[in-house]
Amino acid sequence: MASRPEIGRRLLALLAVAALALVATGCGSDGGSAGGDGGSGQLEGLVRTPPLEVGATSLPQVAEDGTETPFAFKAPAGGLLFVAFGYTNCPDVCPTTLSDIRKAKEQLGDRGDQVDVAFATIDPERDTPEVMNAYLGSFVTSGGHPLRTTDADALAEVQDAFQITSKVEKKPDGTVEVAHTARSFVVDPTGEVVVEWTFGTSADAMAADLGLLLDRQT
Amino acid sequence: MRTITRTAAAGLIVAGLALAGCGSDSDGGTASDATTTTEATSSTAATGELQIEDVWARQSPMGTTMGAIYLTITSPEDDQLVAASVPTDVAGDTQIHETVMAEEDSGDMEGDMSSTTMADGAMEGDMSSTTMAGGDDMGSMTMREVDSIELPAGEAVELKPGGYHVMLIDLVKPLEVGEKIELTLTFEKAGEQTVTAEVREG
Repeated sequence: MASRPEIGRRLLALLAVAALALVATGCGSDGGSAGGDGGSGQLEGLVRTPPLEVGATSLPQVAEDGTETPFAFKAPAGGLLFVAFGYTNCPDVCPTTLSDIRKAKEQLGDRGDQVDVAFATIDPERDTPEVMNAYLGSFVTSGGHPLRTTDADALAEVQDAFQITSKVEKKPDGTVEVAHTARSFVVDPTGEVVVEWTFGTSADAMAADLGLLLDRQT
Repeated sequence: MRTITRTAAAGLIVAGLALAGCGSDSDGGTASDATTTTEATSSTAATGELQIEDVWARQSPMGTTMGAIYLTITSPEDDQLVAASVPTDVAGDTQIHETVMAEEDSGDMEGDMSSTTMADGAMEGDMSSTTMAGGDDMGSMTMREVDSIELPAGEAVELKPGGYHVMLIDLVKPLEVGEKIELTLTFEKAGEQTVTAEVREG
């Protein structure tokens, strides 16, 4: 508690960094890609060189009754896979991101059906298979992949591949505090991350990027 | 000191998000731009009334018992939002929350601060061929309850996704599009004000 001001400064530094990153993300390349047609436009999101390879990792996709099927982080042939990590008790960041990808898919019309949506819980204790299915189902009607494992090591391995972290902490008063990376990902059929979106990326920007990436695949 | 720092931080979040959204209009209720407060300021100063606008809640996904209400407040005088509540047939508890970058992230965030900054510097440069240094985790976020939100005179303070929000805990039933929620806000000086939040798709 005594070091409050110091924490404040550190927080400010972090936020400044985040603000810069978001500025770059949102405004770096509008124009050009707004139409989403042609393969020459620029992506709004972050492109990493070399790209992250996540296709070799997998998590159990859970059915409502708890049945698990291994799901590898690869898009279906000719399509794309959106991936976000979160928890269903998250009222702000997670539904904002999922709501934006839903809108982006809608903007793409029929082509939006080529974008699958994977949502992996970082809080498996509270996010039961039933909850995960109901939650994701309220954002996507088809192509949804609710992912859940109670094996912390397995989750950590996948998070390492995506280079993200999360932490679920039970407080003495019984409340649960969760911190997690708010970045989301788009993976191609080979299991390569083709673009990453920081929190705050608009649905329009997502739709533009998805349009460009779908064009590149055909 | 604590409050000042937090307010400054919130400003940065708002600035960051507002800028991030430029060049594309969002239809998700974030229509008001953090930089276009001039009009609101002058009209508020003239009328001297507390303005609470664009009050909305996102429809709550099935399976969750949490919800969030967003709004924009412009106070004619320096004030503070200190509490929020909704009827008990909507949610069991209501708190004011803030989404922030995680202060400590499994230990490694702290240690890697300088290298994170470096990596992001590179990111800023050339978006088309961005090189991100491996291993750094930028953007871990968490939520925390806040005691109050500062409302500087004449300034439109937005409660919006990724920043402040009124958090609804233990929803009695999912929030459906079109539903109206009575939201009572308590201000340090202006007292209690009741407004209606409309549930939107989000």
